[in-house]
Amino acid sequence: MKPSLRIAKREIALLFNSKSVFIFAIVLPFVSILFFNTLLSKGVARNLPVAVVDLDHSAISRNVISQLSAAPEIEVGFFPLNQQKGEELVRLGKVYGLITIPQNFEADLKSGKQVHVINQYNSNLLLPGGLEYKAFRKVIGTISAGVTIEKQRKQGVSIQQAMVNYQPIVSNNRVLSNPYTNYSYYLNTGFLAMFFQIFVMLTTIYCFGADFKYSKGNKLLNITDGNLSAIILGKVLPYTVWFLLVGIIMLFSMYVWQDFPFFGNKFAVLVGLLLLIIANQSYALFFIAFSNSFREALTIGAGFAAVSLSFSGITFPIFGMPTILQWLSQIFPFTHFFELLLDQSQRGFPVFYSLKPIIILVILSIVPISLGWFKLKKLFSKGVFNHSI
Amino acid sequence: MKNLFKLYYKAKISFWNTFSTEWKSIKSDKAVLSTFLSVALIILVVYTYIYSNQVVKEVPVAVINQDATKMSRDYIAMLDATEGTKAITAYTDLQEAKRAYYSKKVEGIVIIPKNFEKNIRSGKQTAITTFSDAANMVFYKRVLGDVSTINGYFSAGIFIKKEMAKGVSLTQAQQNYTPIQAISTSLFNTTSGYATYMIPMLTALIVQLVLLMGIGLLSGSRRETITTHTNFPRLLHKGGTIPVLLAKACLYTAIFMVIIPIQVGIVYTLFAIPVRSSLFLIYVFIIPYVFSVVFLGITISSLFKRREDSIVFLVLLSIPSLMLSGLSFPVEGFSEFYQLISKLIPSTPGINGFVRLTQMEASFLEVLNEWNHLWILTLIYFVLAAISLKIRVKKEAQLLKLYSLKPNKRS
Repeated sequence: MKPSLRIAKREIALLFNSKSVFIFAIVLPFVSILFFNTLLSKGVARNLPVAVVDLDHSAISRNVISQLSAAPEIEVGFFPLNQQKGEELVRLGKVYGLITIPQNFEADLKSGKQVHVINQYNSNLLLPGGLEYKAFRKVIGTISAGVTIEKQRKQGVSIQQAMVNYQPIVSNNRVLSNPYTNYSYYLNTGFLAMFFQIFVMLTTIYCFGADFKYSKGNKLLNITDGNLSAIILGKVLPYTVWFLLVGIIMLFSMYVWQDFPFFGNKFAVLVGLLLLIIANQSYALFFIAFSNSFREALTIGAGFAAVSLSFSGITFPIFGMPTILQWLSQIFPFTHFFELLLDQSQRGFPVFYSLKPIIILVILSIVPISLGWFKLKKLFSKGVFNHSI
Repeated sequence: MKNLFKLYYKAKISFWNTFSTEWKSIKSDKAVLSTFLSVALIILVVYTYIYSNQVVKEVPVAVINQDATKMSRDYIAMLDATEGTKAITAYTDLQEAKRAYYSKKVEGIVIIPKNFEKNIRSGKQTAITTFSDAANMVFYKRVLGDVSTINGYFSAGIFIKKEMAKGVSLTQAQQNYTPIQAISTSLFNTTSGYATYMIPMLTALIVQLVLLMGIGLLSGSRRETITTHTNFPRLLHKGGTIPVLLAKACLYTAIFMVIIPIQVGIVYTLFAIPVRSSLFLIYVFIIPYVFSVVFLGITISSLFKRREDSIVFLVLLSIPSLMLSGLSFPVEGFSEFYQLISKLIPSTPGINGFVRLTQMEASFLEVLNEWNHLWILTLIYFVLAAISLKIRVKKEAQLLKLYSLKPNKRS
């Protein structure tokens, strides 16, 4: 244990000597925690601007507009004179949708004809476009239902019966996990955890790579009398402990400070967190073993950690990807950690169902480093990367 | 007059010298070259491939049919026929369905209550209970959206049949049910496809990412070998930074004039992502974008001591700048502080303008705001870059004078 302790001491001394390692092992993780927690603090998009072209200018059309304004998701901010002007506003990005109330709206409605309200929404922006679409349908649906029910009442049907007639089937929607459909719960969990693992990956590569860059590999071997595991233990373990602490603060910031829903097992999440750190460090060593230069290891490591966000299924479910990528997504530790975190926090699944991700994380911690072991040994005895750039 | 001419002449020489020096360092630096190629093309292809199915189809949903009548089976058939959901009726009670949900076999649960048909026939209201999991918004929207659509259709069907039983014609009954029809037209990305949404944003973001990485790497290695002032000797003279900076910006713009058509031409065509603008307009638009990013890169590269540092910082910077661009989560949801910060990053107007130009059929006049915004950023970062370069060159010169070292030539 002695030599690895010496290496650990050296590592900690190096950490405080080198400005860049210090910044992204100690400062930046907290910056990222602060950034994501404050960026989406509202979580739910409200008052998205829309434009209304009112070609009717009647009492009912004004009523429609005021009901649209009353929807929490949208806000009628522009009244262009004609459709062309309105479409221009959409292209300028000033509004997310353009709603047109046609001429003779009131007259037609009163004479019993079917009338239309037209909504052109910008579906190139998925989230706000979708919200606008939903809000529009809801508002017009409600107004339309009101008219239908009113008609039936005039025929002598009671209001209760008229409502039942209009809607014999009602939806009783139970939203699990994230009942307020708060985007912050959804995106922050992913982004924070993803950034966290980028830091783990990069710090590990950096602390080894910097030694190889300046040909210190032999020196390390001398300290431990050629014992590779002692070097790795001494260099990696301080960061494992440190990042476990950072990770706990990260979880704390979400589930205590921001009050995200947490229904699961805390211990399982901590085990997952520890395994995520170890698996990433294992991958980092693997990348170092197979890279020709420090820069190459960093680029591959950073790329691997960054694309793991897309492979985790948070932006687009794994289920919907091409089959090859579904297999590929399984080699990313983050995919499994993210599943575990969601299952054990928002979803509140029994721990039994999280055993699978835990087992896979254990495998992903062992396999990469075992594959790279001999290469790594060679690299250490050589003491320096093949290329300096 | 003669002095002016002399100044112009010197600046011209310096401009072309910088142009060729920078080009040579890019060519000879394997790392920079591979960054340009790997990030600009491979990453873009991988990401596009991830999202290439565009929309999620056939999300498995457990349907518990407690009624077991013809009408309930009709309902299930209708739900199954939707694009988004696949109804799985293998589960007889909630416990069983819950276990399937825990093991991720289904993403939601729909319960058709007992007496579903009987209630409807006797004119009573009946409720369909849906459990949808909002831990993943994509599944949540799919399940809930399809169930409410089917509920709406089913209700309408019953209403219209009742009306028709009274002797009203079909069209009249339909009109009675929806006196005000909501017609929604989705613009630009008509199927709300994910790749069509994501890839144009990514293309524009990659311009910033690649440039910052490349510039960071080059300037980091010049710093390691203390060769900034030998590479660009004019920097030490008064006003010497201007031609150097301009030459660098022009070179990178020229490089992107080659990369962008490759990206748009190959990747967009391969994955059928629409391009609704001419190459010429894209060129005109990206000039200030590349300029401002280059100057920003030179400004912040003075922070990096080693060439590797730039990779780390810029990877970390890329996702926040995508978030801040306001295309994933609307800007209206950000606090004023972040709205201000987002305006200082070139990618915000860069991504917005590029997406609007190529996807939303905007004319150039309609992205003029972004274009001007980029020119203002160009100006700001130009000044900052000039200052930071000047400081660095002076420091280097002092350093060499102090230790009277010979600068090492990089291999």
